[in-house]
Amino acid sequence: MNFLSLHDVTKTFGRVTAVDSISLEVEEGELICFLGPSGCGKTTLLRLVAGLEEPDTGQIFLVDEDLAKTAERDRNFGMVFQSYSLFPNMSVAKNVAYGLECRKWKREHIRTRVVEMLNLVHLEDQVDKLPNQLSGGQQQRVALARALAPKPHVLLLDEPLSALDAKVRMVLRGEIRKLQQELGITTIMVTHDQEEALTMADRVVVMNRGVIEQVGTPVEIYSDPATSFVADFIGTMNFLDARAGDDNTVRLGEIDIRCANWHLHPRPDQPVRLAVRPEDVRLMDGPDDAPNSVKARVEWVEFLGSTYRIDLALDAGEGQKLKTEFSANVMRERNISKGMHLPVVLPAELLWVYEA
Amino acid sequence: MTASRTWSGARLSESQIKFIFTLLAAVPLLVFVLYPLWAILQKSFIVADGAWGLDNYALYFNEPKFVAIIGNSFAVSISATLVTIVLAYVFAYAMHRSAIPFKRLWMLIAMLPLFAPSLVQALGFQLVLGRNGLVNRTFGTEIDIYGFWGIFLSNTLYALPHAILMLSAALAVADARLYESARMLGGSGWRIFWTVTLPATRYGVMSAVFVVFTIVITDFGNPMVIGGDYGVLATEIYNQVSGQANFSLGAVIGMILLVPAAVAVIIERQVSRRQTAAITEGSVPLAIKPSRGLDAAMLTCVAFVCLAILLIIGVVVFASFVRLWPYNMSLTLNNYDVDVQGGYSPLWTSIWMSSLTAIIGVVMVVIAAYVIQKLANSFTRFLYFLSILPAAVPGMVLGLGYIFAFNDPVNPIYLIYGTVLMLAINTVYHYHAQGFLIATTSLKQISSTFDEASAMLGGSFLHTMRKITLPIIWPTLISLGVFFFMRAMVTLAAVIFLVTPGNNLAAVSVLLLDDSGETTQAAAFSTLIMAVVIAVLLVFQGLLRLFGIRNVSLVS
Repeated sequence: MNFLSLHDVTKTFGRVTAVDSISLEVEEGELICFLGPSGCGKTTLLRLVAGLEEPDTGQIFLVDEDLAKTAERDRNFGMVFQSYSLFPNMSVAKNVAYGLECRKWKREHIRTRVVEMLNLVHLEDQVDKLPNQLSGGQQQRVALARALAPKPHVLLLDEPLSALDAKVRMVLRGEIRKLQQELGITTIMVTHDQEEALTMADRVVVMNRGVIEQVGTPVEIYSDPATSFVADFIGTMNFLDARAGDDNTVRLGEIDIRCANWHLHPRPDQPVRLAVRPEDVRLMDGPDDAPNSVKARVEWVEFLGSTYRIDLALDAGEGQKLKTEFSANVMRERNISKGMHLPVVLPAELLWVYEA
Repeated sequence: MTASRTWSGARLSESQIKFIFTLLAAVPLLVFVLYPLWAILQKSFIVADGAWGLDNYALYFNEPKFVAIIGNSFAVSISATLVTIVLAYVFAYAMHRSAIPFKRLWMLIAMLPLFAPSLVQALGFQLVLGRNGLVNRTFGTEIDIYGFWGIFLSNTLYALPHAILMLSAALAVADARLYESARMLGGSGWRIFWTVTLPATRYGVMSAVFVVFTIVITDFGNPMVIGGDYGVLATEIYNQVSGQANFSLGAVIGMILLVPAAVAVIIERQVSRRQTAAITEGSVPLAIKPSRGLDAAMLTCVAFVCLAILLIIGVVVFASFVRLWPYNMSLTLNNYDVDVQGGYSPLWTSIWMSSLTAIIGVVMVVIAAYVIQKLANSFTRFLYFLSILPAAVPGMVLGLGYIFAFNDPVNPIYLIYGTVLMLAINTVYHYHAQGFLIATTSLKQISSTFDEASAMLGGSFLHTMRKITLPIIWPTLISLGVFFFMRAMVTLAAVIFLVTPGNNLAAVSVLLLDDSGETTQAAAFSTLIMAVVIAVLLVFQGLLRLFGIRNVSLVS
């Protein structure tokens, strides 16, 4: 049985459908990430789970219990808000104790729990400070301690790192993940930052316009994007306009390219989109007519440190552009420079075909 | 695994509590704002035989004397408004755009008229320029201040602090980038003023125009003291009701006075809504550079305004220590030994009534603001309308409405009719709009995610209010309380119809003392009112300082 499950949940605001009949199963102890561009419905979905919004239709279950009748305050879900939302009139310790006081814990239990939680987030020396005396990262740690103190069933994180600067974000990313694994707490995190999602999550839910595009492990959604939206949203992806050919091939101009991953069943000659990641494009070693090889010209060279970014214009297919990435070593060996001709190979097993 | 176990454990459910709070906000607004207005409207249309008709209005408009009063009201209100706005703009400009010294002191002096009932300015002008005034007695002149000029001068002084506060807010913020580019393009000082400064503050000026107009046209105290034969709408209501016991005609005049006041308030609300977007995120605050010519001119204007205020208020305080103005100018404390009109008891009643007003006002206004903000639906939008409606209702109209509505043994409110509690409730709803807007602004500054954070941690509605909302907004509650106290100490217009000989108020006492020729005792009573208001202000400002709160101003 799944720990938290959403069945056909829909939420509209006026004429906007923020969440469109979404179903999802969350397993106990996993960190699942709602990822998508702003306005995709990920925050609304989190707020529906939290009970801060009521679904128009559909149900949300915690184990086998329908949460429809359970108000947010009785769900025992911990939540960390984007803006921290620490109570400005209370000290760090008071903030952490708040949920415990609401649950009428005994005073000595509260005291030990607060100390325990502040140790956990390394803020034991900030007990009596007020929120505005803390840095952004410290405030977010307090918010985390406050959410976790009452031993919630589920931890909800709403863009927890977006208000912090890059360095603090990197540190907290690791800390939150470590804490989550130590406590084994089921966690849902909302983010628009794919790097955050890929590095922290057990599974990622990619959302767009109120629906789920793909659910999978970070490796799955990166290496096998289910839709062209996911392919485009996660990492960098080249899209080439092509037409469906025979026998698992597409026609790129005059050249037949064999492809291994098909996300549609096209009619012959139907326009399709051929997708390949920059780092998957290979330099050609063999003869000119090797399978899946295309002729191209170097249009732009950009130095990125250990790698170079090369923009190619393909001879075939009316000069479509192809972004590629090569290591500095390869660049030296091949002596690649702007304007030169450079044949490349598009490896069949690393090509995806999507609807045009 | 059970999530439905509730530890918030309230005996009442959340929805029940919300329903109770909505009732707490709605019922008083319906009873104490809507019903009295309905009562006066009805009274103005009900004719002799109890049917509805326009007879009362016909009676009014067929009498040239009454029609002339409308003209008088507009003439004096428009002139006083224009002069007030010009003076206040110059004053506020000097405060925020020039480098003159002693800004805090000037500002403090300019606020003095706020601490006195609206008749004190008239009293001051009477002492200086009246029949037995200093000027006429000293120089043998026969200046006649009673009438248009008296009302015009005293109301200009009375409305000045309100206008200065509003225009200060408009002039306090400026985007230096605009001024820099104007100078780079070669604009002269004058040109920059006309093309940058004035347009940037136009909404503030328009708001101030309509607010001042409302203050002046609805004012009762000053025209009562110094109006002479120059009748205006506010005093005519009083004459008809208290003098002739002609309640229907009073109601008609009330409705006539309601129209311009309501129109001005509606326009002001529309204008002030546009004002907000003037300053954007990238704005650079303007740095004030000294400029000898401008600063000298500004200092002269500011000193002139402050001198006028000090003179008029000061002469009242001075007269309170004089034996018989202006014949025997020897100093005495006898005027403070008030022996008519119930002696000191009106002052104690005023203080007691003002304290009640402060407490009831804060509670009611905060409940209304809280309910309207948290439960946004069509009913609370109606409550919002009722909450700010009193801004458009002249005190005389509200007071008269209370007579029609509650001076009736059948009405349960009759039980408190004629009590101090009735006076306090009347004052709360007279100033409800301003208090409500202060409370709303303050609540808006509390991020709504505090509520959500509290709820996620298991806090109930009441727990959140007690532990988070109230502790954050308490300095505002103090300033709200002081606001209501101040207004209640100096209010005259609404309560004039509701006081009884046993429950007289200080401001009303001043009017009666002045009316019976006891000018110096009236001055003494006025001085006492101002002293109480200023003392309360100082005590609470000190209290806030003690708790380290510096961003809450008690003069608003």
